[in-house]
Amino acid sequence: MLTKLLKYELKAAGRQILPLCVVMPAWSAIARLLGLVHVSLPWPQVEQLLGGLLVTGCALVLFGGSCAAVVFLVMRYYRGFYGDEGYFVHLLPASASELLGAKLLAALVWQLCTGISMTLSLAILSAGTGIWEGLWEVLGFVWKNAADLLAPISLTSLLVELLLLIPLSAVSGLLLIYAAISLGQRMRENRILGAIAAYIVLNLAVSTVAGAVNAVVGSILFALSDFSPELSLIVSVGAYVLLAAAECAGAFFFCRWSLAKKLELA
Amino acid sequence: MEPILECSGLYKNYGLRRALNGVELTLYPGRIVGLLGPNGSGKTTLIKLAAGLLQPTAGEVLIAGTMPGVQTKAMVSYLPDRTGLPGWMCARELIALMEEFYLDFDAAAAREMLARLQVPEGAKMKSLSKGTQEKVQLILTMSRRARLYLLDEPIGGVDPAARDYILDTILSNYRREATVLISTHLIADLERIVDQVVLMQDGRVRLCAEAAEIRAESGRSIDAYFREVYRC
Repeated sequence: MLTKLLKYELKAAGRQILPLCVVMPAWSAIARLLGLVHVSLPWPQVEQLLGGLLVTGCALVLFGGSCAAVVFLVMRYYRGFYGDEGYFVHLLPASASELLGAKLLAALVWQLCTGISMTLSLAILSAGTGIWEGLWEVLGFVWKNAADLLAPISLTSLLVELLLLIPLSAVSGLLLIYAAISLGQRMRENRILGAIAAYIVLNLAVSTVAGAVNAVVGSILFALSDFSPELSLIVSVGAYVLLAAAECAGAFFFCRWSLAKKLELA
Repeated sequence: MEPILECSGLYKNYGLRRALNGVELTLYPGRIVGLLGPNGSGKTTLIKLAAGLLQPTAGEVLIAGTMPGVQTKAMVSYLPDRTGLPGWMCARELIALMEEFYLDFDAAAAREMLARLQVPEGAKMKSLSKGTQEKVQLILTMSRRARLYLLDEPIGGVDPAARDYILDTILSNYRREATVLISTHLIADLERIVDQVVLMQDGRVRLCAEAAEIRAESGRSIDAYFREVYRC
């Protein structure tokens, strides 16, 4: 059932996000090509202005595109579960976990595609300018220094933790929005306002808990740093990974409970 | 015989407003049941609770002895009182989707009904009129070989010619083991097909009786009886 739901969700969200993923690099390519074309004008300021407008326009398209993708994904959750489409989705013989899981996985896939599209757009825009070569040089320098400072096992552990932290952060960010929408649905009126207020409150709560965890971890690190700076670094990043995982689990179970036990489709 | 739908002490509140006030109802397989009542009597709320789209405030509703959930959704076919089909899909895609999700879905029957009602298979839902969307939704609902059909105002938004076809479709899909619960205001149209009538008022079941019994005892049609009972 999850596979079938995922197929449906990928298609539903894809019709809005796929065009964005195509337009962003295409626009970057056009901007780059236009940037390479030198038109001599009697007014050099105009040439500079045109160049600036091109870059600004490109930046706006990329920024707008990435924001639009997030908005589409959030709207998919709202409309799919609490809008008229809910009358179709909630009648499917699937559990709340499957419905939620499919929506979350599809959102992550499309977020990843949007990220790849943006990276490609930036690569196209900066092609031939030397920026990427400089960036690779810096990354190589950081890696070399890290390899010199840390033991191989510590470096590997740190890398694994960082690789876990990136997707977990993406998932927890999305689930926090979903949880806020589900909380907003508990209100009889002004559900959207309720969702926004819930999002603010949830973020505050998460930040407070993170601050408390940091305080505890900080004291452990302080004790460890004298014995092993490497271990303290691993523990520090590991704490963030665990926190992100706990956020994901908490938000997921709350959303699932809301859909399974507290659904009130108007 | 095991009941297909059981409501025991069923209450449902929307904030301070009580929509269902202790509903007691038992329906058995193989009946076409008309759920009648004035606006605000609780018909849609009752149907939504049975479909699993709402949670009761108190009491319980059971479908074939099971609380509404994944298992009951596989045996219940629900037609809502609004169009919930994804606007970006066409009828052909919806049939394929229904076939994938529901083991009891009859795609050939769905296509035949679409052709009979002259609904274009390739047109997106959002490009169709409201009435046509409702027809598609009804076709998809009735193309399932479900044990319980919950139809909330199935003929309210369609033209009179289509109404007769829809009622004939309901009759032709009716099997001895299936139950059809139809909520409607258009009693005169429904009268010829219902076996049993449930009259609701103020969130309670006021009367649950055989249609023939009501006609025999009151000496009038269900429609006339309804107008008499619910006279303003």
